[in-house]
Amino acid sequence: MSDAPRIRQARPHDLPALPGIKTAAARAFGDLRSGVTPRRVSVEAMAILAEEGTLWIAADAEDAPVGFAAATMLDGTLFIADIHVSPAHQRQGAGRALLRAVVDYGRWAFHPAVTLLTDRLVPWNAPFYASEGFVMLDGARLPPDLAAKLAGDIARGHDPARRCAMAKRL
Amino acid sequence: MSKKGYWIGRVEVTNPDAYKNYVAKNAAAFSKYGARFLVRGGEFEMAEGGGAKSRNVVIEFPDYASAMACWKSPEYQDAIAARKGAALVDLMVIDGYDGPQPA
Repeated sequence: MSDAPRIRQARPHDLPALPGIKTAAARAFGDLRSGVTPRRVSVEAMAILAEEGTLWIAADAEDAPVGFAAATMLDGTLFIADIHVSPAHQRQGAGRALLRAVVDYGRWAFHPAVTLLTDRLVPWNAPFYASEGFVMLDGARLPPDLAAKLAGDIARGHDPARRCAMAKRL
Repeated sequence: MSKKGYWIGRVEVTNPDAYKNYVAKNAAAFSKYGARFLVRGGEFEMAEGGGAKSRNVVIEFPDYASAMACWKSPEYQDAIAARKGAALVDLMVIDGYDGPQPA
């Protein structure tokens, strides 16, 4: 249990490590997402989220980042733009702990819901979020900014039949 | 161990939608002055007296001076402006204690 990553707010010195974590985590998807151009993590954008307190780090025993979650306000909800754990530290509860930190913050900050985009089928995607109380949204009735994000994902190669929006009401 | 400084805050939020902008804005000040939440919400009972508010925090700072400087900082004053009219707030900035303790 002592090896489980600890969740904390991001600090400026964490930021350079984040794009690499996302790239490594995306690689773990392998052929599941072939043909998808991943959205790059901008360190500048992450710095703004860190300042606003909506960037969380899963840190190892040496306090180095091994995962992160980034959230922004979208359509009046707290939208999880990124949540990734490096492959070597997956399956240790870091993703779930990051997700719970976002949900806890959402409640604390009076956001009405937490939203995200994910894959319907990959076990650590939609089924994982469902296990934390997220429900699938009707793709034809999404609020405008979330609909635009979904369209953007599909334009970058995500399968429209599998990419979906989910929400947890707080 | 030198003495820490603390904020003891009791808050009644009257406009949650506006209050969330305050939460986003206070993060910068808290980070700059080394704030740590010792109490953040949490179950409570008003064991004595009255005037309870529903949202209570105890925030630790490295010392009293930084606890005070955080409140006075432009970053936090900016956050206060964001919650104007959105909450009733009692906030005490208070010096810690490092003397003898009950056995």
